[in-house]
Amino acid sequence: MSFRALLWALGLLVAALFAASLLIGPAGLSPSDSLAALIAGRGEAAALVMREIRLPRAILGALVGASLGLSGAALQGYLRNPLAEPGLIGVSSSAALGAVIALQTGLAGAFALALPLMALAGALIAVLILLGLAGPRGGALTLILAGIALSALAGALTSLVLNLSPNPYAAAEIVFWMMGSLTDRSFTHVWLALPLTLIGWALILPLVRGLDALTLGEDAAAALGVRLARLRVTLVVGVAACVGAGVAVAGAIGFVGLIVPHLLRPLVGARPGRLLPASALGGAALLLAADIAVRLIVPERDLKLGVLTAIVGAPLFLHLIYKTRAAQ
Amino acid sequence: MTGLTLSHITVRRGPCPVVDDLSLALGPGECVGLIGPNGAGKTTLLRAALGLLPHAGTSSLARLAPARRARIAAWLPQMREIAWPVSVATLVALGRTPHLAAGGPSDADRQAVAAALDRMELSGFAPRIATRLSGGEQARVLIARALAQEAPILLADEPIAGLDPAHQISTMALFADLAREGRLVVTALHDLGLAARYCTRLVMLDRGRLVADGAPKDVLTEANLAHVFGVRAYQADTPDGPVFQPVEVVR
Repeated sequence: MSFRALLWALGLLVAALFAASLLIGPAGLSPSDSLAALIAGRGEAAALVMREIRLPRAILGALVGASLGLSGAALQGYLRNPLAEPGLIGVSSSAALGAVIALQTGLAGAFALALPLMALAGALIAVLILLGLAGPRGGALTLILAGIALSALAGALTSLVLNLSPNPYAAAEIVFWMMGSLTDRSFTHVWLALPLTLIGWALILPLVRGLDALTLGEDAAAALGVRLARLRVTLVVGVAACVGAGVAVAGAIGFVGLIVPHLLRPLVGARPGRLLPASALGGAALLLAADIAVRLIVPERDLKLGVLTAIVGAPLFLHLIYKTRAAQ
Repeated sequence: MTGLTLSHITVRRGPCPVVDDLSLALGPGECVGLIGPNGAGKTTLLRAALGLLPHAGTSSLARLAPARRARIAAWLPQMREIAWPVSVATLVALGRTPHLAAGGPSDADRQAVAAALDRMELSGFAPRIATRLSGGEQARVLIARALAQEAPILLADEPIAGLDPAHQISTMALFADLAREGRLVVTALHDLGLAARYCTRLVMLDRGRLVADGAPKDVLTEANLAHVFGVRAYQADTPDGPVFQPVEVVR
Protein backbone atom coordinates (compact mmCIF):
# COMPACT_ATOMS: atom_id res chain seq x y z
CA MET A 1 0.00 0.00 0.00
CA SER A 2 1.41 3.39 -0.90
CA PHE A 3 1.81 6.04 1.77
CA ARG A 4 -0.92 8.18 0.25
CA ALA A 5 -3.35 5.25 0.17
CA LEU A 6 -2.51 4.49 3.80
CA LEU A 7 -3.29 8.06 4.86
CA TRP A 8 -6.56 7.97 2.94
CA ALA A 9 -7.52 4.65 4.51
CA LEU A 10 -6.71 5.92 8.00
CA GLY A 11 -8.56 9.18 7.29
CA LEU A 12 -11.66 7.29 6.20
CA LEU A 13 -11.40 5.08 9.27
CA VAL A 14 -11.29 8.16 11.51
CA ALA A 15 -14.31 9.63 9.68
CA ALA A 16 -16.28 6.41 10.05
CA LEU A 17 -15.45 6.07 13.75
CA PHE A 18 -16.25 9.74 14.31
CA ALA A 19 -19.68 9.15 12.78
CA ALA A 20 -20.15 5.99 14.83
CA SER A 21 -19.18 7.89 17.97
CA LEU A 22 -21.93 10.43 17.19
CA LEU A 23 -24.53 7.70 16.68
CA ILE A 24 -23.87 5.56 19.74
CA GLY A 25 -25.01 6.51 23.21
CA PRO A 26 -27.41 5.86 26.08
CA ALA A 27 -30.05 8.22 24.68
CA GLY A 28 -31.01 5.51 22.15
CA LEU A 29 -31.63 7.79 19.20
CA SER A 30 -31.89 6.20 15.77
CA PRO A 31 -29.10 7.14 13.33
CA SER A 32 -31.41 9.18 11.11
CA ASP A 33 -32.94 11.03 14.08
CA SER A 34 -29.44 11.69 15.43
CA LEU A 35 -28.21 13.20 12.19
CA ALA A 36 -31.40 15.22 11.68
CA ALA A 37 -31.10 16.57 15.23
CA LEU A 38 -27.44 17.36 14.76
CA ILE A 39 -27.90 19.25 11.52
CA ALA A 40 -31.39 20.71 11.64
CA GLY A 41 -32.47 20.43 15.30
CA ARG A 42 -33.83 23.45 17.17
CA GLY A 43 -33.20 23.05 20.86
CA GLU A 44 -35.18 19.84 21.43
CA ALA A 45 -33.66 17.12 23.63
CA ALA A 46 -32.21 15.14 20.72
CA ALA A 47 -30.46 18.20 19.33
CA LEU A 48 -29.04 19.00 22.77
CA VAL A 49 -27.75 15.44 23.17
CA MET A 50 -26.13 15.51 19.77
CA ARG A 51 -24.62 18.99 19.93
CA GLU A 52 -23.74 19.36 23.59
CA ILE A 53 -22.78 15.80 24.50
CA ARG A 54 -21.93 13.55 21.59
CA LEU A 55 -20.34 16.03 19.20
CA PRO A 56 -17.80 17.45 21.70
CA ARG A 57 -17.07 13.94 22.92
CA ALA A 58 -16.30 12.73 19.40
CA ILE A 59 -14.22 15.83 18.63
CA LEU A 60 -12.21 15.42 21.83
CA GLY A 61 -11.71 11.73 21.09
CA ALA A 62 -10.22 12.56 17.72
CA LEU A 63 -8.13 15.47 19.05
CA VAL A 64 -6.69 13.69 22.07
CA GLY A 65 -6.12 10.43 20.17
CA ALA A 66 -4.30 12.24 17.37
CA SER A 67 -2.14 14.11 19.90
CA LEU A 68 -1.18 10.90 21.67
CA GLY A 69 -0.40 9.04 18.44
CA LEU A 70 1.61 11.94 17.06
CA SER A 71 3.54 12.52 20.29
CA GLY A 72 4.35 8.84 20.64
CA ALA A 73 5.65 8.64 17.08
CA ALA A 74 7.67 11.85 17.46
CA LEU A 75 9.24 10.83 20.79
CA GLN A 76 10.09 7.40 19.43
CA GLY A 77 11.65 8.93 16.34
CA TYR A 78 13.72 11.41 18.29
CA LEU A 79 14.90 8.95 20.94
CA ARG A 80 15.22 6.17 18.34
CA ASN A 81 13.47 3.95 20.82
CA PRO A 82 10.16 2.14 20.20
CA LEU A 83 9.33 2.17 23.92
CA ALA A 84 8.94 5.94 24.22
CA GLU A 85 5.38 7.09 24.88
CA PRO A 86 4.01 10.14 26.69
CA GLY A 87 1.98 8.01 29.15
CA LEU A 88 4.65 5.46 29.86
CA ILE A 89 7.50 7.86 30.44
CA GLY A 90 5.67 10.05 32.91
CA VAL A 91 4.66 12.97 30.69
CA SER A 92 0.95 12.32 31.07
CA SER A 93 1.12 11.77 34.83
CA SER A 94 3.15 14.95 35.25
CA ALA A 95 0.56 16.83 33.20
CA ALA A 96 -2.11 15.29 35.42
CA LEU A 97 -0.23 16.52 38.49
CA GLY A 98 -0.25 20.03 37.07
CA ALA A 99 -3.98 19.74 36.36
CA VAL A 100 -4.75 18.36 39.83
CA ILE A 101 -2.87 21.23 41.45
CA ALA A 102 -4.89 23.66 39.31
CA LEU A 103 -8.14 21.95 40.37
CA GLN A 104 -7.28 21.67 44.07
CA THR A 105 -5.98 25.18 44.54
CA GLY A 106 -9.05 26.60 42.87
CA LEU A 107 -6.92 28.16 40.15
CA ALA A 108 -8.93 26.30 37.56
CA GLY A 109 -12.13 27.80 38.89
CA ALA A 110 -10.74 31.33 38.96
CA PHE A 111 -9.26 31.25 35.50
CA ALA A 112 -10.42 28.77 32.86
CA LEU A 113 -7.08 28.45 31.09
CA ALA A 114 -5.28 27.63 34.34
CA LEU A 115 -6.14 23.93 33.94
CA PRO A 116 -4.59 23.36 30.52
CA LEU A 117 -1.70 25.71 31.24
CA MET A 118 -0.81 23.93 34.49
CA ALA A 119 -1.08 20.59 32.68
CA LEU A 120 1.18 21.98 29.98
CA ALA A 121 3.70 23.12 32.59
CA GLY A 122 3.66 19.65 34.18
CA ALA A 123 4.20 17.97 30.81
CA LEU A 124 6.96 20.42 29.86
CA ILE A 125 8.90 19.82 33.07
CA ALA A 126 8.54 16.05 32.60
CA VAL A 127 9.82 16.05 29.02
CA LEU A 128 12.76 18.29 29.96
CA ILE A 129 13.75 16.04 32.87
CA LEU A 130 13.46 12.98 30.61
CA LEU A 131 15.60 14.41 27.85
CA GLY A 132 18.13 15.51 30.45
CA LEU A 133 18.26 12.12 32.15
CA ALA A 134 17.80 9.67 29.32
CA GLY A 135 18.84 11.79 26.37
CA PRO A 136 18.92 10.45 22.87
CA ARG A 137 21.80 8.06 23.58
CA GLY A 138 20.58 6.91 26.96
CA GLY A 139 19.11 3.75 25.50
CA ALA A 140 15.84 2.02 26.26
CA LEU A 141 16.68 1.12 29.82
CA THR A 142 17.63 4.63 30.97
CA LEU A 143 14.55 6.07 29.33
CA ILE A 144 12.15 3.59 30.89
CA LEU A 145 13.82 3.90 34.31
CA ALA A 146 13.69 7.67 34.13
CA GLY A 147 10.05 7.40 33.05
CA ILE A 148 9.17 5.06 35.92
CA ALA A 149 10.84 7.38 38.42
CA LEU A 150 9.05 10.37 36.99
CA SER A 151 5.67 8.64 36.92
CA ALA A 152 6.16 7.51 40.50
CA LEU A 153 7.12 11.01 41.62
CA ALA A 154 4.22 12.66 39.79
CA GLY A 155 1.87 9.99 41.18
CA ALA A 156 3.17 10.49 44.71
CA LEU A 157 2.81 14.26 44.50
CA THR A 158 -0.70 13.83 43.09
CA SER A 159 -1.52 11.53 46.01
CA LEU A 160 -0.12 14.13 48.38
CA VAL A 161 -2.39 16.80 46.95
CA LEU A 162 -5.39 14.45 47.27
CA ASN A 163 -4.26 13.34 50.72
CA LEU A 164 -4.25 16.91 51.98
CA SER A 165 -7.46 17.74 50.19
CA PRO A 166 -10.07 18.97 52.72
CA ASN A 167 -12.97 17.73 50.62
CA PRO A 168 -13.24 13.94 50.14
CA TYR A 169 -15.87 14.26 47.39
CA ALA A 170 -13.69 16.57 45.33
CA ALA A 171 -10.82 14.13 45.86
CA ALA A 172 -12.90 11.17 44.62
CA GLU A 173 -13.96 13.20 41.62
CA ILE A 174 -10.34 13.97 40.77
CA VAL A 175 -9.38 10.32 41.12
CA PHE A 176 -12.06 9.40 38.59
CA TRP A 177 -10.99 12.24 36.33
CA MET A 178 -7.42 11.00 36.39
CA MET A 179 -8.43 7.60 35.07
CA GLY A 180 -9.01 9.27 31.76
CA SER A 181 -12.40 9.67 30.17
CA LEU A 182 -14.35 11.62 27.56
CA THR A 183 -17.72 11.22 29.27
CA ASP A 184 -19.80 14.38 29.76
CA ARG A 185 -17.35 16.72 28.10
CA SER A 186 -18.73 19.89 26.56
CA PHE A 187 -17.61 22.40 24.00
CA THR A 188 -15.98 24.33 26.83
CA HIS A 189 -13.49 21.47 27.01
CA VAL A 190 -13.04 21.49 23.25
CA TRP A 191 -12.24 25.21 23.21
CA LEU A 192 -9.95 24.74 26.20
CA ALA A 193 -7.91 22.01 24.52
CA LEU A 194 -8.05 23.03 20.89
CA PRO A 195 -5.57 25.96 20.77
CA LEU A 196 -2.74 24.20 22.61
CA THR A 197 -3.41 20.98 20.72
CA LEU A 198 -3.13 22.72 17.36
CA ILE A 199 0.02 24.54 18.47
CA GLY A 200 1.52 21.20 19.48
CA TRP A 201 0.67 19.59 16.14
CA ALA A 202 1.98 22.56 14.21
CA LEU A 203 5.29 22.27 16.06
CA ILE A 204 5.68 18.51 15.68
CA LEU A 205 4.47 17.84 12.13
CA PRO A 206 7.22 19.84 10.33
CA LEU A 207 9.92 17.76 12.05
CA VAL A 208 9.56 15.03 9.40
CA ARG A 209 12.94 15.43 7.71
CA GLY A 210 14.88 15.95 10.90
CA LEU A 211 13.44 12.79 12.43
CA ASP A 212 14.12 10.86 9.22
CA ALA A 213 17.74 12.01 9.22
CA LEU A 214 18.09 10.96 12.87
CA THR A 215 17.77 7.37 11.65
CA LEU A 216 21.51 7.73 10.95
CA GLY A 217 22.30 8.98 14.45
CA GLU A 218 22.83 12.47 15.80
CA ASP A 219 26.22 13.16 14.29
CA ALA A 220 25.21 12.19 10.78
CA ALA A 221 21.90 14.06 11.09
CA ALA A 222 23.71 17.21 12.24
CA ALA A 223 26.10 16.90 9.31
CA LEU A 224 23.08 16.61 6.99
CA GLY A 225 22.07 20.09 8.10
CA VAL A 226 19.57 19.20 10.83
CA ARG A 227 19.69 21.70 13.69
CA LEU A 228 19.40 19.28 16.58
CA ALA A 229 19.11 21.79 19.40
CA ARG A 230 16.23 23.50 17.67
CA LEU A 231 14.58 20.18 16.81
CA ARG A 232 14.79 19.09 20.45
CA VAL A 233 13.19 22.27 21.80
CA THR A 234 10.44 22.19 19.16
CA LEU A 235 9.69 18.57 19.92
CA VAL A 236 9.62 19.07 23.69
CA VAL A 237 7.31 22.07 23.52
CA GLY A 238 5.12 20.42 20.88
CA VAL A 239 4.67 17.19 22.83
CA ALA A 240 4.09 19.05 26.08
CA ALA A 241 1.50 21.33 24.46
CA CYS A 242 -0.66 18.68 22.85
CA VAL A 243 -0.30 16.06 25.60
CA GLY A 244 -0.81 18.71 28.27
CA ALA A 245 -3.96 19.94 26.53
CA GLY A 246 -5.24 16.38 26.14
CA VAL A 247 -4.63 15.48 29.78
CA ALA A 248 -6.25 18.72 30.92
CA VAL A 249 -9.58 17.76 29.37
CA ALA A 250 -9.50 13.97 29.26
CA GLY A 251 -7.20 12.88 32.07
CA ALA A 252 -4.25 10.57 31.54
CA ILE A 253 -4.92 8.06 28.76
CA GLY A 254 -2.02 5.69 28.40
CA PHE A 255 -0.59 3.36 25.78
CA VAL A 256 -2.22 4.95 22.71
CA GLY A 257 1.08 6.63 21.85
CA LEU A 258 2.86 3.31 22.27
CA ILE A 259 0.53 0.99 20.36
CA VAL A 260 -0.29 3.16 17.37
CA PRO A 261 3.27 3.85 16.10
CA HIS A 262 4.13 0.21 16.79
CA LEU A 263 1.25 -1.03 14.64
CA LEU A 264 1.77 1.47 11.84
CA ARG A 265 5.58 1.40 11.60
CA PRO A 266 5.70 -1.59 9.20
CA LEU A 267 3.09 0.10 6.97
CA VAL A 268 5.23 3.22 6.43
CA GLY A 269 8.47 1.34 5.75
CA ALA A 270 9.64 2.25 9.29
CA ARG A 271 10.30 5.84 8.19
CA PRO A 272 9.97 8.03 11.29
CA GLY A 273 8.80 11.06 9.30
CA ARG A 274 5.99 9.26 7.54
CA LEU A 275 4.98 7.71 10.83
CA LEU A 276 3.99 11.15 12.18
CA PRO A 277 0.84 11.83 10.12
CA ALA A 278 -0.03 8.13 10.01
CA SER A 279 0.19 7.84 13.80
CA ALA A 280 -1.84 11.00 14.31
CA LEU A 281 -4.69 9.53 12.24
CA GLY A 282 -4.20 6.09 13.79
CA GLY A 283 -4.29 7.56 17.30
CA ALA A 284 -7.52 9.40 16.54
CA ALA A 285 -9.05 6.19 15.16
CA LEU A 286 -7.91 4.10 18.12
CA LEU A 287 -9.17 6.52 20.76
CA LEU A 288 -12.51 6.98 19.01
CA ALA A 289 -12.85 3.19 18.79
CA ALA A 290 -11.92 2.76 22.46
CA ASP A 291 -14.39 5.47 23.46
CA ILE A 292 -17.11 3.66 21.50
CA ALA A 293 -16.08 0.40 23.16
CA VAL A 294 -16.46 1.75 26.70
CA ARG A 295 -20.00 2.75 25.82
CA LEU A 296 -20.82 -0.66 24.35
CA ILE A 297 -19.08 -3.00 26.84
CA VAL A 298 -20.82 -1.84 30.00
CA PRO A 299 -23.32 0.83 28.95
CA GLU A 300 -24.86 1.13 32.44
CA ARG A 301 -21.51 1.71 34.22
CA ASP A 302 -19.11 4.49 33.39
CA LEU A 303 -16.10 2.42 32.30
CA LYS A 304 -13.14 4.82 32.09
CA LEU A 305 -11.39 5.17 28.76
CA GLY A 306 -7.91 5.25 30.32
CA VAL A 307 -8.65 2.02 32.17
CA LEU A 308 -9.58 0.28 28.93
CA THR A 309 -6.53 1.53 26.98
CA ALA A 310 -4.25 0.44 29.83
CA ILE A 311 -5.84 -3.03 29.99
CA VAL A 312 -5.32 -3.46 26.26
CA GLY A 313 -2.00 -1.62 26.09
CA ALA A 314 -0.05 -3.01 29.02
CA PRO A 315 0.10 -6.58 27.67
CA LEU A 316 1.30 -5.17 24.36
CA PHE A 317 4.00 -3.26 26.20
CA LEU A 318 5.10 -6.50 27.87
CA HIS A 319 5.19 -8.12 24.45
CA LEU A 320 7.37 -5.25 23.11
CA ILE A 321 9.81 -5.57 26.00
CA TYR A 322 9.98 -9.30 25.36
CA LYS A 323 10.74 -8.70 21.69
CA THR A 324 13.35 -6.03 22.50
CA ARG A 325 15.03 -8.44 24.88
CA ALA A 326 14.99 -11.21 22.27
CA ALA A 327 16.60 -8.88 19.72
CA GLN A 328 19.53 -8.04 22.00
CA MET B 1 35.56 22.65 -6.38
CA THR B 2 36.10 23.27 -2.72
CA GLY B 3 38.85 22.59 -0.23
CA LEU B 4 39.07 22.60 3.52
CA THR B 5 41.15 25.05 5.51
CA LEU B 6 41.74 24.58 9.22
CA SER B 7 43.67 27.16 11.17
CA HIS B 8 44.75 26.79 14.77
CA ILE B 9 42.01 24.30 15.64
CA THR B 10 42.05 23.42 19.33
CA VAL B 11 39.48 21.18 21.03
CA ARG B 12 39.60 20.68 24.77
CA ARG B 13 38.02 17.98 26.86
CA GLY B 14 38.23 19.46 30.33
CA PRO B 15 41.62 21.19 30.54
CA CYS B 16 43.43 18.74 28.20
CA PRO B 17 43.58 19.60 24.52
CA VAL B 18 42.43 16.62 22.41
CA VAL B 19 43.38 18.51 19.26
CA ASP B 20 46.11 21.05 19.85
CA ASP B 21 46.56 24.12 17.64
CA LEU B 22 46.31 22.25 14.37
CA SER B 23 46.42 23.97 10.98
CA LEU B 24 45.93 22.27 7.61
CA ALA B 25 45.02 23.30 4.09
CA LEU B 26 43.51 20.52 2.00
CA GLY B 27 42.56 21.06 -1.61
CA PRO B 28 40.22 19.45 -4.15
CA GLY B 29 41.62 16.37 -5.86
CA GLU B 30 43.36 15.07 -2.76
CA CYS B 31 42.67 11.76 -1.07
CA VAL B 32 43.93 12.45 2.42
CA GLY B 33 44.50 9.71 4.97
CA LEU B 34 44.33 10.83 8.58
CA ILE B 35 46.47 8.42 10.58
CA GLY B 36 47.51 8.13 14.19
CA PRO B 37 47.22 5.72 17.11
CA ASN B 38 44.01 5.35 19.15
CA GLY B 39 43.23 8.57 20.96
CA ALA B 40 45.38 10.72 18.65
CA GLY B 41 42.41 13.02 17.98
CA LYS B 42 41.44 11.93 14.46
CA THR B 43 37.69 11.75 15.08
CA THR B 44 37.74 14.91 17.18
CA LEU B 45 39.57 16.79 14.43
CA LEU B 46 37.08 15.71 11.76
CA ARG B 47 34.09 16.58 13.93
CA ALA B 48 35.54 19.96 14.83
CA ALA B 49 36.28 20.63 11.15
CA LEU B 50 32.57 20.10 10.44
CA GLY B 51 31.54 22.31 13.33
CA LEU B 52 29.92 19.43 15.23
CA LEU B 53 32.14 20.15 18.26
CA PRO B 54 32.90 23.41 20.03
CA HIS B 55 36.44 24.42 19.13
CA ALA B 56 38.87 27.31 19.09
CA GLY B 57 40.38 28.37 15.79
CA THR B 58 38.59 28.41 12.46
CA SER B 59 37.46 25.81 9.97
CA SER B 60 36.22 26.84 6.55
CA LEU B 61 33.37 24.31 6.88
CA ALA B 62 32.32 25.04 10.44
CA ARG B 63 31.78 28.68 9.53
CA LEU B 64 29.00 27.82 7.07
CA ALA B 65 25.32 27.62 7.95
CA PRO B 66 24.37 23.95 8.57
CA ALA B 67 22.13 23.62 5.51
CA ARG B 68 24.79 25.05 3.22
CA ARG B 69 27.60 23.04 4.81
CA ALA B 70 25.59 19.85 4.23
CA ARG B 71 25.74 20.47 0.48
CA ILE B 72 29.49 20.95 0.57
CA ALA B 73 30.62 18.22 2.95
CA ALA B 74 29.35 14.71 3.59
CA TRP B 75 30.24 13.09 6.91
CA LEU B 76 30.50 9.39 7.56
CA PRO B 77 30.72 8.88 11.35
CA GLN B 78 32.58 5.97 12.87
CA MET B 79 29.46 4.90 14.75
CA ARG B 80 27.35 3.04 12.21
CA GLU B 81 23.85 3.75 13.34
CA ILE B 82 20.71 2.57 11.59
CA ALA B 83 17.91 3.15 14.07
CA TRP B 84 14.91 1.78 12.21
CA PRO B 85 14.33 -1.18 9.86
CA VAL B 86 14.10 1.01 6.73
CA SER B 87 14.94 -0.21 3.23
CA VAL B 88 18.44 0.30 1.83
CA ALA B 89 17.04 2.68 -0.81
CA THR B 90 15.33 4.78 1.88
CA LEU B 91 18.49 4.91 3.96
CA VAL B 92 20.69 5.95 1.06
CA ALA B 93 18.10 8.57 0.08
CA LEU B 94 18.64 10.23 3.47
CA GLY B 95 21.88 11.50 1.95
CA ARG B 96 19.70 13.71 -0.24
CA THR B 97 18.29 15.55 2.79
CA PRO B 98 20.28 18.75 2.09
CA HIS B 99 19.08 18.81 -1.54
CA LEU B 100 15.41 17.91 -1.09
CA ALA B 101 12.88 20.38 -2.43
CA ALA B 102 9.70 21.01 -0.45
CA GLY B 103 7.71 18.70 -2.70
CA GLY B 104 9.86 15.62 -2.10
CA PRO B 105 12.53 13.78 -4.06
CA SER B 106 13.19 14.94 -7.64
CA ASP B 107 14.58 12.92 -10.56
CA ALA B 108 18.05 14.21 -9.71
CA ASP B 109 17.63 12.83 -6.18
CA ARG B 110 16.56 9.43 -7.46
CA GLN B 111 19.47 9.35 -9.92
CA ALA B 112 21.94 10.25 -7.19
CA VAL B 113 20.64 7.42 -5.00
CA ALA B 114 20.81 4.91 -7.87
CA ALA B 115 24.33 6.04 -8.79
CA ALA B 116 25.51 5.78 -5.17
CA LEU B 117 24.08 2.26 -4.83
CA ASP B 118 25.72 1.33 -8.11
CA ARG B 119 29.14 2.64 -7.07
CA MET B 120 29.03 0.62 -3.85
CA GLU B 121 27.88 -2.49 -5.78
CA LEU B 122 24.61 -2.46 -3.86
CA SER B 123 22.06 -2.12 -6.67
CA GLY B 124 20.42 -5.44 -5.86
CA PHE B 125 20.14 -4.41 -2.20
CA ALA B 126 17.77 -1.46 -2.72
CA PRO B 127 14.58 -3.12 -1.38
CA ARG B 128 16.33 -5.05 1.43
CA ILE B 129 15.84 -4.00 5.06
CA ALA B 130 19.05 -2.24 6.12
CA THR B 131 19.06 -3.46 9.73
CA ARG B 132 18.96 -7.09 8.61
CA LEU B 133 22.18 -6.83 6.58
CA SER B 134 25.56 -7.93 7.94
CA GLY B 135 27.79 -5.35 9.63
CA GLY B 136 30.03 -4.96 6.58
CA GLU B 137 27.07 -4.61 4.24
CA GLN B 138 25.58 -1.96 6.53
CA ALA B 139 28.90 -0.10 6.42
CA ARG B 140 28.76 -0.09 2.62
CA VAL B 141 25.15 1.09 2.63
CA LEU B 142 26.18 3.99 4.87
CA ILE B 143 29.06 4.86 2.52
CA ALA B 144 26.51 4.87 -0.32
CA ARG B 145 24.41 7.25 1.77
CA ALA B 146 27.35 9.65 2.00
CA LEU B 147 28.02 9.33 -1.75
CA ALA B 148 24.37 10.13 -2.51
CA GLN B 149 24.93 13.48 -0.82
CA GLU B 150 27.10 14.39 -3.85
CA ALA B 151 29.14 16.83 -1.82
CA PRO B 152 32.53 18.05 -3.09
CA ILE B 153 34.08 17.10 0.25
CA LEU B 154 33.78 13.70 1.92
CA LEU B 155 34.96 13.24 5.50
CA ALA B 156 34.95 9.62 6.65
CA ASP B 157 35.90 8.15 10.00
CA GLU B 158 37.32 4.65 9.64
CA PRO B 159 34.99 3.81 6.76
CA ILE B 160 36.64 0.49 5.88
CA ALA B 161 36.88 -1.00 9.38
CA GLY B 162 35.01 -4.31 9.37
CA LEU B 163 34.84 -4.69 5.58
CA ASP B 164 36.12 -7.81 3.85
CA PRO B 165 39.44 -7.40 1.94
CA ALA B 166 37.77 -7.04 -1.47
CA HIS B 167 35.49 -4.26 -0.24
CA GLN B 168 38.30 -2.57 1.69
CA ILE B 169 40.26 -2.35 -1.55
CA SER B 170 37.30 -1.34 -3.71
CA THR B 171 36.22 1.33 -1.21
CA MET B 172 39.71 2.84 -1.03
CA ALA B 173 39.93 2.70 -4.83
CA LEU B 174 36.57 4.47 -4.97
CA PHE B 175 37.82 7.20 -2.64
CA ALA B 176 40.90 7.62 -4.85
CA ASP B 177 38.60 7.87 -7.88
CA LEU B 178 36.46 10.50 -6.15
CA ALA B 179 39.61 12.51 -5.55
CA ARG B 180 40.63 12.17 -9.20
CA GLU B 181 37.18 13.49 -10.14
CA GLY B 182 38.13 16.65 -8.26
CA ARG B 183 36.62 16.01 -4.85
CA LEU B 184 38.41 16.20 -1.54
CA VAL B 185 38.31 12.97 0.46
CA VAL B 186 39.59 12.93 4.05
CA THR B 187 39.45 9.61 5.79
CA ALA B 188 40.68 8.46 9.17
CA LEU B 189 42.36 5.09 8.73
CA HIS B 190 44.11 2.42 10.75
CA ASP B 191 45.19 0.30 7.81
CA LEU B 192 48.51 1.95 6.95
CA GLY B 193 49.03 -0.45 4.04
CA LEU B 194 45.89 0.74 2.27
CA ALA B 195 46.68 4.31 3.28
CA ALA B 196 50.10 4.03 1.62
CA ARG B 197 48.61 2.61 -1.57
CA TYR B 198 45.55 4.77 -2.14
CA CYS B 199 46.01 8.12 -0.38
CA THR B 200 47.72 10.97 -2.19
CA ARG B 201 48.61 12.56 1.10
CA LEU B 202 48.86 11.43 4.70
CA VAL B 203 48.37 13.54 7.80
CA MET B 204 49.84 11.93 10.93
CA LEU B 205 48.51 12.91 14.34
CA ASP B 206 49.86 12.08 17.77
CA ARG B 207 48.21 13.24 21.00
CA GLY B 208 46.32 15.96 19.19
CA ARG B 209 49.32 17.39 17.40
CA LEU B 210 50.30 17.31 13.76
CA VAL B 211 53.44 15.17 13.47
CA ALA B 212 53.85 14.79 9.73
CA ASP B 213 52.03 15.84 6.59
CA GLY B 214 52.90 14.93 3.02
CA ALA B 215 53.18 12.11 0.49
CA PRO B 216 52.79 8.63 2.04
CA LYS B 217 56.44 7.68 1.67
CA ASP B 218 57.54 10.91 3.36
CA VAL B 219 55.17 10.42 6.28
CA LEU B 220 55.58 6.68 6.89
CA THR B 221 59.26 6.98 7.80
CA GLU B 222 60.97 4.63 10.18
CA ALA B 223 61.39 7.40 12.75
CA ASN B 224 57.74 8.54 12.58
CA LEU B 225 56.45 4.98 12.81
CA ALA B 226 58.61 4.20 15.81
CA HIS B 227 57.88 7.47 17.55
CA VAL B 228 54.12 7.70 16.92
CA PHE B 229 52.91 4.12 16.48
CA GLY B 230 55.72 2.23 18.21
CA VAL B 231 56.07 -0.18 15.32
CA ARG B 232 58.63 -1.13 12.70
CA ALA B 233 57.36 -1.88 9.19
CA TYR B 234 58.43 -3.64 6.05
CA GLN B 235 58.14 -1.30 3.06
CA ALA B 236 58.88 -2.00 -0.59
CA ASP B 237 58.08 -0.62 -4.00
CA THR B 238 56.77 -3.50 -6.07
CA PRO B 239 55.31 -3.76 -9.58
CA ASP B 240 51.92 -3.76 -7.78
CA GLY B 241 52.68 -0.45 -6.14
CA PRO B 242 53.95 0.31 -2.63
CA VAL B 243 53.64 -2.47 -0.07
CA PHE B 244 53.61 -1.58 3.58
CA GLN B 245 53.33 -4.06 6.41
CA PRO B 246 53.96 -3.35 10.12
CA VAL B 247 56.02 -6.25 11.42
CA GLU B 248 56.93 -5.66 15.06
CA VAL B 249 56.32 -3.51 18.11
CA VAL B 250 59.39 -1.48 19.04
CA ARG B 251 58.48 -0.11 22.48
